[in-house]
Amino acid sequence: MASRIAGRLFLCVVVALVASTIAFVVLHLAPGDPFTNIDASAGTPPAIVELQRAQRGLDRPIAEQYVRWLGNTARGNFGWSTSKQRPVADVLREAIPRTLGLMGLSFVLSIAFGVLLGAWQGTHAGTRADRWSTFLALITYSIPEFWLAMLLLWWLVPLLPAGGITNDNASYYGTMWQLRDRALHLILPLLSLTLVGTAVIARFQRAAMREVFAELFVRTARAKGLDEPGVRRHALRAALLPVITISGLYFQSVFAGSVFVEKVFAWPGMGLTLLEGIGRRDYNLIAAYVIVGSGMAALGNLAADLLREVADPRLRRA
Amino acid sequence: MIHVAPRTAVARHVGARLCALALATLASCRNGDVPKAATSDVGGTMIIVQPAEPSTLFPPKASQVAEFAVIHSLFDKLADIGPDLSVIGDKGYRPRLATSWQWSSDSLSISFALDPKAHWHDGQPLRADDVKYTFAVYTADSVGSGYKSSLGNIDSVTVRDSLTAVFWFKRRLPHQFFDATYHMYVLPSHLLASIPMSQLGDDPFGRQPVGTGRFRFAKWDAGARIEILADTTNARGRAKLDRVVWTLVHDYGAATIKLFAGEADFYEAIRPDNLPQVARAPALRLESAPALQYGFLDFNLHARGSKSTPHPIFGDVRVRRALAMAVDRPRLVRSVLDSLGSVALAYAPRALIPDTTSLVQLPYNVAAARALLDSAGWTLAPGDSVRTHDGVRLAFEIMAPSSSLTRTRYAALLQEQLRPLGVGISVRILEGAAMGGRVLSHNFDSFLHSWDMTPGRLGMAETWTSAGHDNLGGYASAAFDAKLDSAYTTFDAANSARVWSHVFQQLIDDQPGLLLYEPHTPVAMHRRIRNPPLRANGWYMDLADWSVDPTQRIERDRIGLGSPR
Amino acid sequence: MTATRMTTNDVPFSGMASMTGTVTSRRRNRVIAAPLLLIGTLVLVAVAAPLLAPFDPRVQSDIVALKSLGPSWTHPFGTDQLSRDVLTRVLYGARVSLRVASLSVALSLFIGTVYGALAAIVGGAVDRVLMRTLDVLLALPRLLWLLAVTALWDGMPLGGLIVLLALTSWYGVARIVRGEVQAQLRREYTLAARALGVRQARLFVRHLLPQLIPVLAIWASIGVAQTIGLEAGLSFLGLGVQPPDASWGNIMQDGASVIDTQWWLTLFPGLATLLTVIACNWLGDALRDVFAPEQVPA
Repeated sequence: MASRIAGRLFLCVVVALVASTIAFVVLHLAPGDPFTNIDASAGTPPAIVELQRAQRGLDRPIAEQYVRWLGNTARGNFGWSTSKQRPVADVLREAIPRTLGLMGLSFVLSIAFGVLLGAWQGTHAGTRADRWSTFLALITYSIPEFWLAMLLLWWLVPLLPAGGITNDNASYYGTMWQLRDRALHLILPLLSLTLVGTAVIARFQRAAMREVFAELFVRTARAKGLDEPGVRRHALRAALLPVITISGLYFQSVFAGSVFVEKVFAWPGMGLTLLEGIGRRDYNLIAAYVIVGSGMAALGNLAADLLREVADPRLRRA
Repeated sequence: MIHVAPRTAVARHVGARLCALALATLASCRNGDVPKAATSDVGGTMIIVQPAEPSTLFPPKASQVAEFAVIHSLFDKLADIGPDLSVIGDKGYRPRLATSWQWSSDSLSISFALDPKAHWHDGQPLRADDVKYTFAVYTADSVGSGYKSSLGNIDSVTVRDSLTAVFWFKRRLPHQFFDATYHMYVLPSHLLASIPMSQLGDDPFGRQPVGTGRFRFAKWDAGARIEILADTTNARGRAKLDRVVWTLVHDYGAATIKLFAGEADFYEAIRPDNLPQVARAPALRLESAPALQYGFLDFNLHARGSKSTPHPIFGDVRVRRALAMAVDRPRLVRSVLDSLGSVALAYAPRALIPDTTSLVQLPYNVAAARALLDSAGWTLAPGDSVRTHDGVRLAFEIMAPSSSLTRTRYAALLQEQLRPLGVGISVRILEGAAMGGRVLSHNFDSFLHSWDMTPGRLGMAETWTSAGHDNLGGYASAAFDAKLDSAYTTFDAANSARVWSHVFQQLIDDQPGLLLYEPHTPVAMHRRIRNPPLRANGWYMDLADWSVDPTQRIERDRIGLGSPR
Repeated sequence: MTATRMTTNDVPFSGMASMTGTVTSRRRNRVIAAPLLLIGTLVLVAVAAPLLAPFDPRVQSDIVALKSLGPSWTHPFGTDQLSRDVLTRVLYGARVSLRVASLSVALSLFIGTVYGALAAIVGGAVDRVLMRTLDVLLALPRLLWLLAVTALWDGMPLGGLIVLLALTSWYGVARIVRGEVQAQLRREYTLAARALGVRQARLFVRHLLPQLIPVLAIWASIGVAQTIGLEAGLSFLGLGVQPPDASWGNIMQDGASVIDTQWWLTLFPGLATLLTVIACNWLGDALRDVFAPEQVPA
């Protein structure tokens, strides 16, 4: 078990390395660099621009840049962010918790609501309520998140704050006020992420429940005279397996999906930072995002696999 | 209490509103322990929505408007250019860190007497050494400031005594005083001198600056907001507002919603599309500020990838003139910019053209444009939709940066405007750096370009003379170079206006780029904010004199100067 | 957005369900008919756009007087900021959006099928290497690649976008095809065919591929749904389909900043996107209900 986890962790590292290498090559081969934006550098003589480029080592051959970057990254030094004019590590340290906070919360809520809704649908299969709720879930599941976010913003502001994590004057008020303020700012982004997330999880939970009900052990339990709530409890536990798998994958996509919600709701997390970094050709920042993003995804899968083994003894290998 | 801006279409989306009722109830129980209000026009909080986060507040490395808006409030120049933006001598200049100045008899040096009461926000007094150090930083290669080239005529800066700094010049020129005062914000040598020059740009100072301005730096929440506070002990008097906050909203649509919801007071980059909304919002007013920008379609006069072979289409001045004559520029301006722009009169904004009446413009005349193209050999074969000349088709690419809505719209409009003339245009919308990469490697036909000029018009040498490093289209005219040189060296104001007219006329006749528009930068702001007239070289020039009408204060104005928790 | 849905692709069968056991062909037809009809209508509208559209999608009828008009009889969906008819652009946008989605999904199915089948049929060390590679590729955040490449590379042409979307979406197909083929290879008829000396390629094309069709059909419909949403998202960021070509995403981008006053620019293309995505997901669900029981490996 421990050696398998070690093996999987090693795979995470490999994934992050490969991902960042591809990212490095793709970025550096793209036309232009951080200093070719003529709107930003107008009036700066070419000699000075050359100097600025040399300061960041961008005048070197790409292979040399790669080796240097790899060496620094291996030592945990993600380099300098040209768009934010500060170390990439500092940028990440602030942005990651903000994204994980929002995403984590919506992740937990989506799974909670999704499992409940799906389980309910699964036990009421074929009823009118089931058909309607399934149809609604299909629609919710199909809404483009950025569109939903825009509509929510249009309808619910100024009843709710338009964006950001806190009010611009929050630091001048008391603790209770600040807590309420944060909660209010969370509602819109959380709503647009969780609506879709709940629909995704519910679909899988419903299908899994129906499948489990058809299985032998449920029939056996019923035949043995177990009461219906008892049967449901057993079924729910068995049906959680596919949902755990989905959650692992969902975790990865939530991280990527943050881009749109963070943009619309001015949530200064990883997604927004990435968009700005791309807009200003911030090589180091984008590469670091790739490492963090793919590492996160691999860890999500690993966690899902482990959880599945805990939930289902059959999966444990000898 | 929450400030809720009334919205016009109340009946809309009743269902959604009902769902939100519970949330509104929650929101309305916000209250704060807010200090008592003052009665003078001192005090108040202004919140500015800002689409792009500044990357640094270290003045020599700043390049964006977003950065200068903050920097200008925290740091000071020796003197500030007058409202008429005159750059000849020291006419109109207002004292800032220097209380007075004296020209030497040969005009090759100026000594600045510094304000003895001026001090840095950390309490240290201002010294002439700071001025000398500032010049050294701005001109050091290892710092890599973009303003180094604008300081080329200054030979050195010396310290006469602790409160007198002397600027020495290489040549006597009309814009000497402008050179000495316009670009440099004075930096605190006592905090920075121990840091190697090459490290200055990366130093944390750029994120927690210490200046001499009437506002002092308060905090910068990365990605969220930048806050500055009135410096209550400033030698030139405290700023009237208590606090200015730049709140960062990356998405334009979300930024406007924040403004219309009353969460912000000021938006610098309002677009023409939103004008009707501003007009309908009772809490907002619109102020159209002059700008020092102009936009045009920059032609590459050389064949793609070459610096000498003429471009098969744009190498011929007749084609460039014909294209210009076939475009209905006033109509395009009305379509894209509505009332927030005008047709560009020359290769500079109106504010920098001394005499606009003497310029002879190319007429809008489609028939004449057709005739001119015919006579230049570009003819339309029967059944074809694009003109040809010796087998070359009159077809080219227009590039526009995705970041500029104005320019991407202009690209689509030009494509349609010129199609009936037999001109085939393909439009490419590119990310800024990708477009720049192609332009700088001369691999383009034409691109929509916008220059932001400084009052000195000094940038014109770089943008249009044959040796200019920003001359991206490769325009080269000995006649123009000579005229520009004499314009730069004319001291007399009346003469200067006449010479400048010749300079601009030469460019209009040669049409190195198709002149299109001059935007006014409209700002939308809350009605309770009072401000002196906006200046063309930046709306933020007199921010310390802005105030809030004491009778119209809202909750955030009553916070006072208290320090953040 | 789409990101949340893209990954569920990877396990379309884990939640496979049906309590019905045997499915009669009449019920099968009825379940599939409704979404298929809807998709058929949408495709027909897209194909017939030049006939249906009241205007030319590029024509700017009057750039001053007719720009940004709300819905009216002449312009049922209003006009945009360049005075172009929004209904026309939504109709033509359907062509672009559907073409991008269907071509990229077709390409990704092709790559995934070949890769997965190769791994399963050849087996051994090759299989292990291919699968490890797949593990690595699967962990790369797709959206990030799409953002980085579309933003940085020189104004992505439509073809490039299609290839890019395909190259970042075939991993799941490969996994499932490998699993299916492995299962088929264990069955008697393939063992028999192999014993009879049927060549591998022929075996695959003649015997295994037909078995995969239901799986691939489910994949295709869900894939198209996701790609349409994803393309709309990229175009919304200004990174997908480039103007002056109309796609639903870039019409919405035009409207994003003026949603309060020119809501028609956001609402109508958004509804078109939603309708199409619903239709495709619906078809995917229906196909799954119908085919799944027979296709789930025991």
